[in-house]
Amino acid sequence: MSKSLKDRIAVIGMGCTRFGERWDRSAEDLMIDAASDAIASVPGLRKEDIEAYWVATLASGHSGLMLSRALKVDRPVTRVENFCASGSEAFRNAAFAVAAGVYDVAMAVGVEKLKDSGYSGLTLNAPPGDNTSAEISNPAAYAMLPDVYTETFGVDKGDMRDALTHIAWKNHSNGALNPDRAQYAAPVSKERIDSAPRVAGNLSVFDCSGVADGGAAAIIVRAEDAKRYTDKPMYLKGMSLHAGRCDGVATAGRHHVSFPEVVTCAADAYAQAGITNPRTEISMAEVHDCFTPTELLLMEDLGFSKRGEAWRDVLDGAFDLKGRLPVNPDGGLKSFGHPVGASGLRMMFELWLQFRGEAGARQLPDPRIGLAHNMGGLPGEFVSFIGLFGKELG
Amino acid sequence: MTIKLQAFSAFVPRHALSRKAFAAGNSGQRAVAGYDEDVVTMAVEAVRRLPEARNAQGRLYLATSTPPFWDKSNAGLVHVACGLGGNVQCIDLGGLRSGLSALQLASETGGIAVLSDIRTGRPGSSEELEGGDGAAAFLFGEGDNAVAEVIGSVSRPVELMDVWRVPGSQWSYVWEERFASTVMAPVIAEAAEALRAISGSNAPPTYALISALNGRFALTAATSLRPARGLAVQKSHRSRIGFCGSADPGLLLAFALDEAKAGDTILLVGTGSGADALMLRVLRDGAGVLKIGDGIDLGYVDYLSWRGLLEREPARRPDRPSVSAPASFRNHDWKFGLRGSRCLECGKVHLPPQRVCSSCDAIDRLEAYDASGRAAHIASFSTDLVSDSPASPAIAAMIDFDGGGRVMMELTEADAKQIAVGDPVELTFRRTYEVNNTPNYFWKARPLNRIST
Repeated sequence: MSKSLKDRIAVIGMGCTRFGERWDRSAEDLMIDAASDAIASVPGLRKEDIEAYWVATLASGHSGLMLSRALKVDRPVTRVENFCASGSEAFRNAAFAVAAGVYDVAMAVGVEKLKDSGYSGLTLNAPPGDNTSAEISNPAAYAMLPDVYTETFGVDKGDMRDALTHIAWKNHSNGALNPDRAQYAAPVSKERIDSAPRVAGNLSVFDCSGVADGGAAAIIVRAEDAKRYTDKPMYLKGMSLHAGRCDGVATAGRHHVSFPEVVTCAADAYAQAGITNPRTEISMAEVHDCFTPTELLLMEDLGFSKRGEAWRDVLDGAFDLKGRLPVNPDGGLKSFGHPVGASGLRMMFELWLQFRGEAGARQLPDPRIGLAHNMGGLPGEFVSFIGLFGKELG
Repeated sequence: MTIKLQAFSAFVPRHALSRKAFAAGNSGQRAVAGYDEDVVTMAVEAVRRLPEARNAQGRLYLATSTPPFWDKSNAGLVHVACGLGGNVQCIDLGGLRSGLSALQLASETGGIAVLSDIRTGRPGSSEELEGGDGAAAFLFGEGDNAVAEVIGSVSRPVELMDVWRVPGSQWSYVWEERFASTVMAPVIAEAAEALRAISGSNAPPTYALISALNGRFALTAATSLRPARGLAVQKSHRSRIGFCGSADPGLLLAFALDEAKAGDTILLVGTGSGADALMLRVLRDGAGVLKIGDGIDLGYVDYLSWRGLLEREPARRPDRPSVSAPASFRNHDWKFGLRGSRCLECGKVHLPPQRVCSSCDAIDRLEAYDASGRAAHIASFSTDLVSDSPASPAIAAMIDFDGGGRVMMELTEADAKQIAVGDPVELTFRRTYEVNNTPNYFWKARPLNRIST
């Protein structure tokens, strides 16, 4: 278990581009747009005030130079990569540096330019190898989840499909309230989701996150300095990262009805924040809904639902915008889009807007504690990040 | 006002193959496009040599029998690399006779006709030996200082299996040459007579230029038209450059115009499945600037390898990445036009364009900066035997531009032993490398003082 940075780190400014097929924007453009927005969100702050940068991308650039060249800065810049949790990783390292007192003001930037690859999905330059790995798409790997769940918990397959459809419907409905930035800002009916052609197993495109370009950025200071920059900072309450030993894909008999890395990560983050009952103490959550079954299982791993009951909570509307614990109010990866390196910071951006009362039509009534869950990998081998943020100190 | 020929240019690649490499009795050279040149790059060289090309309105005709792309417009590539206007109609013409067709069309509609071609033949064949590579460009339009005017234009199509090539083949099939000669001689005579009738003069033309695959037939046919100034242009063209396919009539015309005097007449015939012909009257004395010196002698093995007729051992490394279509589109000003940016606040030049100024930090305050035609020089350079090049060693160079800006580029047509820091260079649009047979293009720097004119 890691030591807590509760109430020691604050976010004082953020920026986020529109996500989607940004044919007219390069990764450099998206970094410039997100970083400029973040700086502009802090009155009086200048680029020169930022002392160090961390930039996250899976495959849209290399080294700190990808950012220093675009933004034209003479500063320490580090590129980080941790699969789909890269954006959170940039935040985490910047927070460490500021907490350590090495820098007073740091920026975390996340960016991904997926639509230059010519492939509608994630591309990854794997290191040279013996090429014995089966060629399995991400949708196929996640499409294995629903049947394991229904068999383990004795859930009707039709009910399970209805729950997955509800998640897709909910996230698209939320995204429709986010027209300035979401990739798919139109509601989609449950009938359309159910009748869409399948891409893998029982999953259709409506069960998959949007393949998008985008960038997001956060400016980080120590909590005691925050009010010098803004009346409404966002405070870090807990932060955990966990990479598993990848035995879930190598152990016979293991059932993927839970992601153990997330469970470990959540316990760590909750302990740091002093949260004992996430169901009641957390006001809202942005979770890694790369596929609809992922979001379903996460509701149990994050402690929002009891084991085997998330499907029922989903269908009861517990995680809808007006439910007891709104999940992905900004539309999530599903509807907002998933530019890998930017997604973790995009999640924090929604907490930032909600805490400040700037979330427009999807504004929640006075959220106090928000959770951002961001992860990368496949069922059985994940790197998982959880960040807990609050509106106020204490 | 009527449409007249306002300007012309010719481009002959620097390298050449000596015909004596095949037999001691042979003479002359054929022009050879470099490994990084093709129909598009040679057409760009020719069009960019036209004065006022960027003001050309209306149409751009590209005539070639060896387009690097089907489906996709090759004329469109020439258009963007020459920085022509956004409303120019780009027209791709194909086949050996398309060169003269392009001249006829442009003389009627105005615009630019650029004729560009690469001729290959089976190794050791007369098509290979007598062929040549090159391009010529012609700007037609209205203006008071025209180079020449078209007096007449005729076409005589004949369905003839004289020379043909099927898609995918690197070679032409050529029927016994005496057959085509026998059939075509009277067709050419008849076309010439038709033009004479249009011109209303019984005097023979000052120049009679015949473009035909068979050089001996072309000379015989030209002789029969009794041109007042003889056959020197055609003879030197065939000797030093060779038959340039669709570009052949363009090069013949450009060389004649370069030495002609006002008042001369030029009869130009293109053949292949019939004949198209033009009669021009020269309005302005030629400038006498198209002096083609000896080409840089290329070894035959290099020639075969550069044309892809002999497979050289590739560098043992993974394939290069293919071009991202969206990135190429987004950056087309830079990639095809070598246009960077200049900061509107402080004047700093960025190559490629940058949204944030590296000097004053201004964001999105920039104007286009065209580096393609600017004076530039070598700031530093090194041979590079690691990069895979058909002309190893490649030379990497830092190029500084007068007026600001610096780019790391590859040098082409350069010998590391003959260049020095500070040497002037010019920028040239080149074919860089292929992935999955798809060519990629970008600019290289070429030492200015070392090229044959």
